[in-house]
Amino acid sequence: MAAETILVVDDEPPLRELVRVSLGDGYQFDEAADIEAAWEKAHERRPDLVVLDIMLPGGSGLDLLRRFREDDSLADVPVIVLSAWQTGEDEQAARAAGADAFMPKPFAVDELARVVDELLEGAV
Amino acid sequence: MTRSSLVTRIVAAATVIALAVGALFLVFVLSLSTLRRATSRESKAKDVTVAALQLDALTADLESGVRAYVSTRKPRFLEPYNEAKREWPGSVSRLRNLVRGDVVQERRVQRVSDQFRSYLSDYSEPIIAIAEVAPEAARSSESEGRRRLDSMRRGLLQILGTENARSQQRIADANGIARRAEIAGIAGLAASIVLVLLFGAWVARAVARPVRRAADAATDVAAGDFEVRLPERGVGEIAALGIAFNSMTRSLEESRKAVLQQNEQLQASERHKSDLISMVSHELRTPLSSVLGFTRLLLDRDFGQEEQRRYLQIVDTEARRLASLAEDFLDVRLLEEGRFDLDVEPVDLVTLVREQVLLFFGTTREHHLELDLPLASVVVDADRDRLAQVIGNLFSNAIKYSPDGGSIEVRLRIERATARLSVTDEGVGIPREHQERIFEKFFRGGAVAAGIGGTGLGLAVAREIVEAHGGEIGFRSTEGIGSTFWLRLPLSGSAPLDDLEPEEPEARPVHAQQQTRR
Repeated sequence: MAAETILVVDDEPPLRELVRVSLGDGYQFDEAADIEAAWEKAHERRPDLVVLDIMLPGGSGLDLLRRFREDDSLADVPVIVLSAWQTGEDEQAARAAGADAFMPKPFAVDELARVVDELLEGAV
Repeated sequence: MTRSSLVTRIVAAATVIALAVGALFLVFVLSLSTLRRATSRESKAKDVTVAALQLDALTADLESGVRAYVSTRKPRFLEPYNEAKREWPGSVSRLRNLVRGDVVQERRVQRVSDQFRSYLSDYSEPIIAIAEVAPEAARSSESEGRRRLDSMRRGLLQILGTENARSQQRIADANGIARRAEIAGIAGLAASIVLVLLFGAWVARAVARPVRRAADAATDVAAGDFEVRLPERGVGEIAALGIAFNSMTRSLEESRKAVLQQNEQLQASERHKSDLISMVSHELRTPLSSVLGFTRLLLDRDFGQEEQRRYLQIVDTEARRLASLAEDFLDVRLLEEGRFDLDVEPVDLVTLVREQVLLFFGTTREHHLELDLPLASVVVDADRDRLAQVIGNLFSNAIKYSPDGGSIEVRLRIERATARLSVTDEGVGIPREHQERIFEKFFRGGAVAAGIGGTGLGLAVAREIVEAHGGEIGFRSTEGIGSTFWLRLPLSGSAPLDDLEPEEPEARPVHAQQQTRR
């Protein structure tokens, strides 16, 4: 079985790398630094899961999430939202936009791996 | 509008009313005293009538006495005559006293008195003497006696008639006066009532109504309506009340506005503070995520030596980022306290700019750098690290605020004994409404919404540093087209910029520059 594809959207290269290393070699990774690049990447190769930062140059990650949810092919892709704005409102907004999980920064790497596993198993 | 006082007006009106009522009362009293005089004259006329009628009766007694004696020659018949003769002078003098002052009547009384004396001396006394000796002869003279007495009685009737006529006249006069007094009294009463009513109406209009209005307005003010105003006209005190009231409501309104404004400022500063806290928190979390995350991975998992090194490198970089953030906050504190310790030495700007260019433009692939530096060195007296911080800030802003890439032009020139460094990008630019505030610390404009990270401290600190070096910093920007930030520093050994000409307006607008460059 082909390895699942995870799209990591964050404007900070170290953060993208952290997500990649945390989740390990069992996945294929696509990366994007802003929402337009992420949109293109998602259409080039449909991701099995998206790790999405909220604060991105050129527009909020939640805007991208809403576009995913309205897109026929991407509507049911599980999305984990990361945010450095650690407020209850942020989590509510993320859930309202269609996030499957919300993780405040800084996040525990094991926790991220666990949530990713859960979501991918649920999707199968 | 005259501002005569209310008290003056009320006193004046009361005086007018008092004078009018007093005048009417005077007329009334004068009428009454005239009436009283007329009445006393009338009673005197009655006394005159009584006295004249008494004399008339005495005259009748004289004649009948003489006639009876002449016919009978009996002395007892002479008694009424003698009685009348005795009483006559008293009666005449009483009548004379009554008519004293009335020349016509006095003359008439005198004539009757004369006629009486001549009747006694020329007729009655001689006839009585003759009757004793020759009764026939005396009887034949009776007609003479009647003629004289008739003349006397006519005189008396004249006096009586005149006196009665005068009395009638006086009664008529007195009635007239009484009627006039009555009319004057009623008219005066009516006039007084009208005056008092008019005065009351005026007081109501000039005083009661404005006071009522003031009370209503005060109620409105109590209910929180500070825009209510009273008319500032009317008599003195009322106008003064209006002016004072309006000044009160104006000042209340101003106070309320001031309080509201203060409150708004407080709320804004409160919002600002909470924005600031969440922004600081956000800025700390991003590098902290990498530091904690990679540390945890390094501790928990086994990596090859090369990977370990790479992750430690990331941890180091991100930890330095945290340290630099801490520096920025410290700088802000120093900036707020107004003390920068500058470690000044001669610094070659060309070298410094090259170093910073390598540091900042080494990592970006989207931006195309155009570097325009002089061949010779450009030396300024500066704190090397601080100046590097400023230049680095301008470079990092140029990269950060042109997320779509494009050209970034870095140019260093010597102009009029100053070094001028400019950094031009083709980025998002600064909206006009934000341009005045971009050097404010913590001001981020639309950067938060655009997802551009930062603390809003860079430019505030940069300006403080440049000004501490005796230089100046500025910018030119058009939203959606790009920005040019420049700074000028005095060349080593020259005077601070305050003594030099200010920055000349740029000949070409930013977008024109960029068009020529494209």
